[in-house]
Amino acid sequence: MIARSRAVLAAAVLAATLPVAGPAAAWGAKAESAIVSTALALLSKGGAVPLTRLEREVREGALSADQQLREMIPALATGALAGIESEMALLQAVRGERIDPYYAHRLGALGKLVARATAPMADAPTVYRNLYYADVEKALSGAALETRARRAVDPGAYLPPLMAEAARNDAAIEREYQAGIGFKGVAGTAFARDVNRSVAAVADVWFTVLSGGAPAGAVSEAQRRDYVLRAYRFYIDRGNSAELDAMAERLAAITPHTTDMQVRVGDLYYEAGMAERAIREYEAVLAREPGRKEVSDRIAAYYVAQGERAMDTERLESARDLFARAADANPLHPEAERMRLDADARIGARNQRQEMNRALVARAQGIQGEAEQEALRGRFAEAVALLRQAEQTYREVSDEFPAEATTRDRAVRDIAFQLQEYRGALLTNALAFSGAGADFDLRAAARERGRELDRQILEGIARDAYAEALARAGERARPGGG
Amino acid sequence: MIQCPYCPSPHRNGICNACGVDLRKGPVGCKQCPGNLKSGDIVCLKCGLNLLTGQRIAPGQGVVRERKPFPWAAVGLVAAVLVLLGAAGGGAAWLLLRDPVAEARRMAREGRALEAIGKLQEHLQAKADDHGARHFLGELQYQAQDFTSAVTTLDTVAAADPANEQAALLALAAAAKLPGDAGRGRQTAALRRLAENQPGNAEYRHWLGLALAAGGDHAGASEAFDAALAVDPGFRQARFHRGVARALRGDYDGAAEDLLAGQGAISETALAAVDGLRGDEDRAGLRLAATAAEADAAARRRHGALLLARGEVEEALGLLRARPGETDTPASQYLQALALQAIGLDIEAMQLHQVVSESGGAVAGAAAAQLAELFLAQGDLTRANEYTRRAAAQQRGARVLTIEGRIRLAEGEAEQAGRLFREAIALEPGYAPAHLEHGLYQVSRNNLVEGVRALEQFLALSRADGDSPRLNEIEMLVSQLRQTVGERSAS
Repeated sequence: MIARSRAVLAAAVLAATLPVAGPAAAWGAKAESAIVSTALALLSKGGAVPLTRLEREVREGALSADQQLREMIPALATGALAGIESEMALLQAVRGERIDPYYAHRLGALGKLVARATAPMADAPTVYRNLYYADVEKALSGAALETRARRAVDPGAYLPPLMAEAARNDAAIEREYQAGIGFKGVAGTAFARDVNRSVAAVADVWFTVLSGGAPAGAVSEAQRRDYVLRAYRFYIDRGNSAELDAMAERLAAITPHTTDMQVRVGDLYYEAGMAERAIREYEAVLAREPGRKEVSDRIAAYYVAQGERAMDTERLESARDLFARAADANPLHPEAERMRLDADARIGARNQRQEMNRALVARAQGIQGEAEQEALRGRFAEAVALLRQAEQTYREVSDEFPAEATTRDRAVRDIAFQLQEYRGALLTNALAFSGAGADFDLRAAARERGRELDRQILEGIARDAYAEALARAGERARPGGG
Repeated sequence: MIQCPYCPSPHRNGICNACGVDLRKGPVGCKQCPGNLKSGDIVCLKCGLNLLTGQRIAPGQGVVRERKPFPWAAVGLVAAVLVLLGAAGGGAAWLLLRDPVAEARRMAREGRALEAIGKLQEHLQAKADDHGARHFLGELQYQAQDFTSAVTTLDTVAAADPANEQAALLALAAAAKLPGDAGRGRQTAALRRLAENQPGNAEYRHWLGLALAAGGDHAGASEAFDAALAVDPGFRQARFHRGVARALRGDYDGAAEDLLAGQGAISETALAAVDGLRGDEDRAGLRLAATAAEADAAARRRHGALLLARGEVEEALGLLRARPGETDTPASQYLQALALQAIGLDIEAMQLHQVVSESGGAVAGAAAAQLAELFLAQGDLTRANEYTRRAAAQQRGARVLTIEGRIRLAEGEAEQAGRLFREAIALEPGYAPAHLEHGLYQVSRNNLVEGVRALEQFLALSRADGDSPRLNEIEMLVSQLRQTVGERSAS
């Protein structure tokens, strides 16, 4: 049963498609897009498939350029019908439980193919065909939409009659355009029917695919892989990380990923600036096939590049780790190990400088503490001298290490205040130095006594020698000699 | 000082330490007869009493004899016997009695030395030129420990008989037994005699030099050593001791040259002493450190004083402390106290300073000054004043004046303090602490320009004397003061 009605929805959908521009072909870009969108609306309204959420992706798919379509669907090379059949079989084969955005995109592209296949004037001379399609686009907003129940179709049987029906008025339309009647003639009269035919064809084809009613064609692994890779590119271009993660799982279910596919996915990531994801893919490849030199080269090159960036920003530990990972990935990398050693040496030198700076800060803090202690004891001159020493030590701390440099700046400010305070106290406590000449007295006393001891030593030598002489004289002078 | 009439020793309290006679009992006379005694007598020539042994060796004049009835019969009998025996023994007795020296020798052999001395003295009164008898008398006097007489007797012999070296040597040995300055004088005289009598003997000249040096006559000592070296130019000991004498005379270059003749640690110690006396303390320190293991107490203390002056206080203290068997001197105690003070052990330092200040020795005043400073630092102005007075009693030099000034300042008598500081500087311009206190006093009176000048003078003097941690502080103070003076001038 076919129910005919004018649907406001159709007008809205068709109007919404108008700003979309694209290269002219078959219906023309706007018309094709409008037909696809209208078909989508029909299909969703019928409740067969909830595609409204993915309308944008469907429309984008419908706007795919011819070249893109030819790359996407290689079977188009043998004819539109073959292309449509091939795409229908593929989409039916890869469909999961839910329709994902890329799938919707491909549906849009399929819709475009179907719309184009069912468009009038497809084989007419370009001049009249273009005139016709231009007029169609002007008339689109006024087209009445026919709704009817969707059905699964066999494209091989379903589409050729529709294509023939669409071409039935081509000659008349061409003549009328040649005669200057243009769209006011047969073209205008058949316009609504022609559009509705295409819309219905698109909707039926989609319905067939989505309901699993398409004839099971041979879908090769190559097709699946190509689908998966294009899906990756699609999602990568969208740049949604969470979506990518979710879809990676979904896509993995479509076909087992070969290492070549993983490399390609890695490349896609890499080209899109998602280097970390790319490296994960490459590393997964290496885990599966350690001998993949081109992959290890890419990993190493990546880590080396990352390492160089880290070096430039003085993130030396990161740089060292990155160079080490590069060398791990490709032990024969000409630079990785040298750069790792270089980073290591720079880390060592930097750590040494940092230690030196820390030691300077610690020493300066110690001296400052001593100064404060001296001040507490009322020895302000010593405190001032120590503060100057501390300040000098702080000033040796470099700007290289922010924590130490901040400590230095704060301490130098503090010292300036302390110096002012202690200098004032020094003058008011001058009498505290009374008795400081004790060292002079001590030295003088020690020297004076020392000189006395010098004399005593010499006198002692003479005295001892004389006592010895007397003892000897006593021995020689034994009584009895007279 | 009183000269003992029995011996040449001086004494103070009335009892002669040398011979034990109590002079407080009045004029000295023989205990057994009214005869007077001369200085140095040990036998009363009047009654023959040996004052040392109490024996009477010959009857003296005035001896009281008992009157008895004349026994004519016995006399006749005895006379007959004597006549008979006289013929037999007379010859031998005559022989003995006609040579008193031989008799004295016999007496000496029999242990009757004092009798022999009396005999010889009697003999020499009659025959003064019997040098042999006199030499023998000298020996007996020496043996009887009558060293004063022995010296006189033997020197007389040596003077009369220059060839008699033994007499001169024994005179020296006897003089060596005599105490005090008189003894040293006799020793020197004996040595001069020896040197004169034995002109070819370098050793006696060396000994004479040592005697003179020990007596403090370093010029005379140097001459004696010169004479010894003139006789024997290779006499190393004489050269070494001449070095000692030269050093004590202040001839340090000559001393250093001579002292090289010495050997071992004693030579290095003596050279260190010379270095110290001429102010080359670094070199002295090196020498003393090199001989530290063999150093005697004096050398060790000297080393300690040197380290103390350098500020190596703890090591100095170890050297200054007396070792077992050694005795501390006030000077070494004073140095120990300074070291203790320098390391902050003020209580221990004060205890030692008190001991030294009460010793009355040469360093008592210095110790009292230290105590005054310590009490001042403790705020005990009463005791600080007391010890300042004690120090001033010994010598009121720049140091004591400076301490007095500080005390006055602490007592609030600023004007008086300022006067005392100025007085100290005038008395001893090189005394740095006086400039310091004067400078601080001026700063406290807001006379910054004069204060700075005085403090700069203190710094200059102190820096020349040696470094000190507090000098940096004072330098800092001066720097701040200069800045303030500049700011005031600018405004």
